[in-house]
Amino acid sequence: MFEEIKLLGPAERSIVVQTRTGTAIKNVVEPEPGLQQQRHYQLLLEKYGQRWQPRKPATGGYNCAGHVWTSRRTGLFDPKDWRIILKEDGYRQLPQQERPLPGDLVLYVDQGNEEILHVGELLELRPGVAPQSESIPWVLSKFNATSGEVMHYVGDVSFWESQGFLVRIEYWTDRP
Amino acid sequence: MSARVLDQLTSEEFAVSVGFLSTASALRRFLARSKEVADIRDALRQGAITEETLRRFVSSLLQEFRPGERFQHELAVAALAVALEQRGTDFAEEFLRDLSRLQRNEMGLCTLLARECLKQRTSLTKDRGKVFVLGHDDQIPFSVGSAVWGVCGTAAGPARGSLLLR
Repeated sequence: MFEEIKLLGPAERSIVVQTRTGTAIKNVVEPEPGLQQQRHYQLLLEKYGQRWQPRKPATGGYNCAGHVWTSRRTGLFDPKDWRIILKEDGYRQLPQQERPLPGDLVLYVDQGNEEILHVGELLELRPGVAPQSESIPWVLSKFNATSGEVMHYVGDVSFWESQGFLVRIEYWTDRP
Repeated sequence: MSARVLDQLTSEEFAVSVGFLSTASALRRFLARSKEVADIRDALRQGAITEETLRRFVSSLLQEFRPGERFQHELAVAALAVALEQRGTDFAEEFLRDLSRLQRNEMGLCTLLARECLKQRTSLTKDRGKVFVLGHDDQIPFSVGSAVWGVCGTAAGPARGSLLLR
């Protein structure tokens, strides 16, 4: 199978990525999205992103983890590696009573198997709708390797639920 | 039926249903419970499509592979990998092994997904004491679709046996 591709030989581009303690992290710099993937992204934006604010159109090269941990240079596709980065780069999970701050990370965790589905960067805390109500985190996300970047309220990510994932939100910080 | 179950893998509707899933393991879990993958498993089991049909379908998709450009049919190939994950045939093994060994940026996600499928396939046969290789529906005294998940227990915990379907 896949003889046509095998004949072309390997072409997997990656760069050197290490945690602060030196563990190598697998990564792939993937190509830009084609016209078809750009269209799918537009359809997804129309379906789920009516309250999102686009920052950047559909783009390749990196995914959510590549956005927050490699400055958009490459894509990190193994959630087990994301856990290693959190540990070895000195992140800690915020307890429920501790308020997240801009620059902290928002993790969307699949409660079915505790795997991280997505990581975004907290940009600001926006006032809640009612007076005295809690502020709502506003997040910058690149949802996958072909999507654009969007800003959205932390809970405005209904697509996982519609796919049968039960998602928990966690806040992680590099602050002491 | 044969054309329809495969053609739906290249549809816009299917691509949108996959949404923003970006990791191979999450994509695999989603596809495993998708209607499209279930349809392919059923069609194979019922003989509505054959492995040769799949081989020709994949070959036709690969005609659109362009070096340096993201492969447009990654999700279709990924769905086939999940559909074949528990199928105990040489073709399924060849498909998953060959796909998992590709090292091309253009189709990195389905390659990673094939590795996930192989891991799952290996754990199914390694962790369980007994492997039943089944032929046709009429040899199975219960619903195959539910039996595979029920017996393998991916959601419900450890299982006692596994089913590999021919």
